[in-house]
Amino acid sequence: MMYATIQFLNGLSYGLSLFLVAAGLSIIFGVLRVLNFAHGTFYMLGGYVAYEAVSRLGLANGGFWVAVAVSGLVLAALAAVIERLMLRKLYERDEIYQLLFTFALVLLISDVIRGLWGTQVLSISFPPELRGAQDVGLAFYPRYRLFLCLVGGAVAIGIWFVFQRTRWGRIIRAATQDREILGALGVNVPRVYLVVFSAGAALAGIGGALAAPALALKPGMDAEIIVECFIVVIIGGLGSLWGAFIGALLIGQLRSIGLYFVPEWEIVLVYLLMVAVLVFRPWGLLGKREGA
Amino acid sequence: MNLKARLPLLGMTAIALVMASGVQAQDDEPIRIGAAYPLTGPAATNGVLAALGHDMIIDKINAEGGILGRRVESFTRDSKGTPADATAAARDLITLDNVDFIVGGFTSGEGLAISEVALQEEVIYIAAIPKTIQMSEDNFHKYMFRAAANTNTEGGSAAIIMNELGVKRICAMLLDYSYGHDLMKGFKKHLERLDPEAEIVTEVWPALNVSDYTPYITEVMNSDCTGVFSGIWGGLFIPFAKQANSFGLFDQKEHFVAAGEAGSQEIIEELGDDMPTGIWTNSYEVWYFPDIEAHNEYVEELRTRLDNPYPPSWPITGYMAVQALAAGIEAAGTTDTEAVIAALEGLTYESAIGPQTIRASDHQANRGQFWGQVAESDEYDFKILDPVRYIEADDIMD
Amino acid sequence: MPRRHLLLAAAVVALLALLPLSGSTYLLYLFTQVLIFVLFATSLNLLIGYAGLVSFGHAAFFAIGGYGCAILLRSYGVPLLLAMPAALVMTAVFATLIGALCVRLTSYYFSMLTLAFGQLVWAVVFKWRSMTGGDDGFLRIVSPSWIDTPASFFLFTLVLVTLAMVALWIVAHSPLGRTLMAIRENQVRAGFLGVHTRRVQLVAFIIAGTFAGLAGALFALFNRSIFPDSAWWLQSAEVLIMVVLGGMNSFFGPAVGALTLILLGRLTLELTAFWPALLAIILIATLFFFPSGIAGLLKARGRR
Repeated sequence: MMYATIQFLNGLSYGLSLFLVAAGLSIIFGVLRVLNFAHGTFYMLGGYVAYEAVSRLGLANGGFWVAVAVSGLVLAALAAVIERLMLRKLYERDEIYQLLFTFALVLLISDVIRGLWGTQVLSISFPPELRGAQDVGLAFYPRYRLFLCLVGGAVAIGIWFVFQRTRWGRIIRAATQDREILGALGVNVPRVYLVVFSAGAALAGIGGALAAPALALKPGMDAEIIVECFIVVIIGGLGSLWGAFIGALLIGQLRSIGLYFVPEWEIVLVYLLMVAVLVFRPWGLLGKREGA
Repeated sequence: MNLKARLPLLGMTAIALVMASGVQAQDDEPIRIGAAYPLTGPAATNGVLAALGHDMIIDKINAEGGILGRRVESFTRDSKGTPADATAAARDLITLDNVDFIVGGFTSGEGLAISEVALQEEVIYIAAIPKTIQMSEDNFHKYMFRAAANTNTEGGSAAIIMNELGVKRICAMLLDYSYGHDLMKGFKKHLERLDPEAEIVTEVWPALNVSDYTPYITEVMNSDCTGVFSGIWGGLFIPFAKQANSFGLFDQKEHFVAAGEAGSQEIIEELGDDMPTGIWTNSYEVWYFPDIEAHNEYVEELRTRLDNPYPPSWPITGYMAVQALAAGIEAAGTTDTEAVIAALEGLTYESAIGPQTIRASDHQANRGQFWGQVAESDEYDFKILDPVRYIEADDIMD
Repeated sequence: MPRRHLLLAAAVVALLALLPLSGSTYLLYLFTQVLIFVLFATSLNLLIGYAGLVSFGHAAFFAIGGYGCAILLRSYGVPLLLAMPAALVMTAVFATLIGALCVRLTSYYFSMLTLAFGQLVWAVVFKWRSMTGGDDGFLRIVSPSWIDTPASFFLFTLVLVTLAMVALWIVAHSPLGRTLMAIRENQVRAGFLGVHTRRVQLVAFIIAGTFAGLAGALFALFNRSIFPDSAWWLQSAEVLIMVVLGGMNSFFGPAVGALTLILLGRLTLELTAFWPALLAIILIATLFFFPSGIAGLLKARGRR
């Protein structure tokens, strides 16, 4: 029972922190219709920026939380610049340009990261407030991972609230449904795109900063996470936030419980799953039926 | 299409031709050695360090009069961490830089790819880092030599430690690719010899590109094993150790034997307090052991070059590969490939960590393993390996 | 397609045929690699430039062709003149299966499915150690003696790549090619005109994949080894960049891109420390300022 509880929590904490990143990818696609390959690299940059901030500020007196905030801000600013100066010019062109552009960003940003921080694996220690294990009744579980669960859940609720109860949320939902009408309704569409892209990137960056103490920073982490994100949004459905939520939880559990049943060929199964969803139900669980 | 448009194409071809022909004008007096290491890509930082070790020994050799009284010219090319690029780098070294010998390689894939080129071009290749047993078994050929330890030695040495700790029920946690499987083979083989009653009761095989080891950690903690054998190497040990710490794995399991050079200075420093005390782990090199002249000399030079009193362990790999090669050429008295091969077989030479012997049958140097137990230190800000020892390879490299 | 381009291409082939006379093994190896990637990139452009289908998994066929040929040659002792065609047939079969599933989708979904299939092929190659050698690679791929020297292998590659390029050129300028472009412009309208769009796209997919397989087989023979890396998405990305850089709007654009990328990677020794970043900047510049790639640039200057 304890074993099952711990594995469940492992999957849950992984899934919810994955949701943080996948949510941004899903929203960006939903509104801008851009498949942001660089999303994993935003996540990676968030982690490295947090590392840098922690190196300078130390972990005492909430240094880690400042670092997380800094990551969010840096990514938001970077994404805003990218969208305003470059991405915007590609909306009217063939999709291939956007795909290739975000891919080029992957190459560029990850190489800059390599130039600034090297390829050694780097680590951020757990913030002192969240060290150690917590008694959750059936077992003792690392506090930091419980915290990740809370954050993931809070973000999910927060996004839901924004979507359902605020004007911005309505605009974003409308944009996901039908972009063309939006302009006609007097909405400042370019501003919406800018905000969504920045917010999505900021989420990814914060996700990276928060995950860093648990997972460590290393080259290739962007490729790792973007593949996971793709699988999540494909299963959940591109553009659907709830889809991303369910997808992330599913992938999280698959990784922890799945290993128990099919350890050897796990790597093949992951891609087979991606293929299967795209072949039989490309719009995933909750996505819109289109382009398929 | 007019001339103007054709110019760039012709220009590029011209550049290539000039580069190729320029080589013929060289003096053939110096001995030319080529090195292929990943200078870009995910292994860049460590590849650059290995290349540094290579440059250090070349400089030292030249300062002491060269090899056979001849100067050594060294060329380093970027293998970029992939076998296809390593193939191209090795070929460029041979056909463009006209090297007489090649050293290097980082990943096992690179090592095997370079080895194929060495076979085709009939040039001696000394592998500095690749551990895969494939190179000295199924894919062995006479031009291939290895200065690095192979996976049998590494796995076998871990078995020795595990056996000395008296562990009967073992959990094994290895990465699911050829290195992990080969390491397991080496470990099992020697464990059988030492203690047929010791049993591996649980095996977990995390994939290579996984960052979250928690499901595997939980699996291991759920097992009744008293000792854990891990092959989670180098940088990957960092997230693993932190996650394992937060679950209390190192407290629950009495013994932990970590292969994969988790005891490297860089890893220990990066983990800081999170480096688990009491585990046994290995490293390519320990800057404070052994206390012999050759090693101390090496460490001093490295300290100066890196301006770091506690240098990383990677440069020794590039350093020792060239030491083997230089010794072979000296012993042969010529740079003729066949003669150097014959000279290297069975040769004992002095290296920065002491004498090494190259076995004639598979051209494998008896490169042993530095193992140590992680302990707190009063002297330094980081933990150290104490006690630390060198496990000989001769009995376990099969 | 202007005849000047064809004449220029013929001149290049003739010049290359004389390369063995230079006596430089370095150049022979360099241009063998360039030729292989010229073929690989041009095959991909049938999908990207002509059909408008962005495949992120083209390396899958490169790898299937390479491993197929290598395994038949070494594990089963099949002579090359049988092994290579057999590998191509195998690649074509996989291209049919994978293509049939992919062409049912459009744009992003198509791209993601090709990526997924590419990774699936990688995963199978990686895990199936008994057949492929796994990440230890498949080694000791020895060519028959008549192509065992750098010069003879180069000429062999030159002949095969030239023939393949001729075939691709014919396909691109045939009714099939024109239909593909019509579909790319407006899929719905093409459908109204009675075109079986999916069937046409599938045919293009199969042809593109098969020729990628030929490039892969040549690559395996050339390197004497093949590793799962040849199926990894970065390999797909590399050839995609060659197409975009060279110009996806012209037949020879990808060839120019392949030549440029390979030369840049080898000659910029001082800059290789930041090679990926440099490549990214060049790619971005191309996307924004030279959407027709280098070939487009050359064409524009040629017109003056």
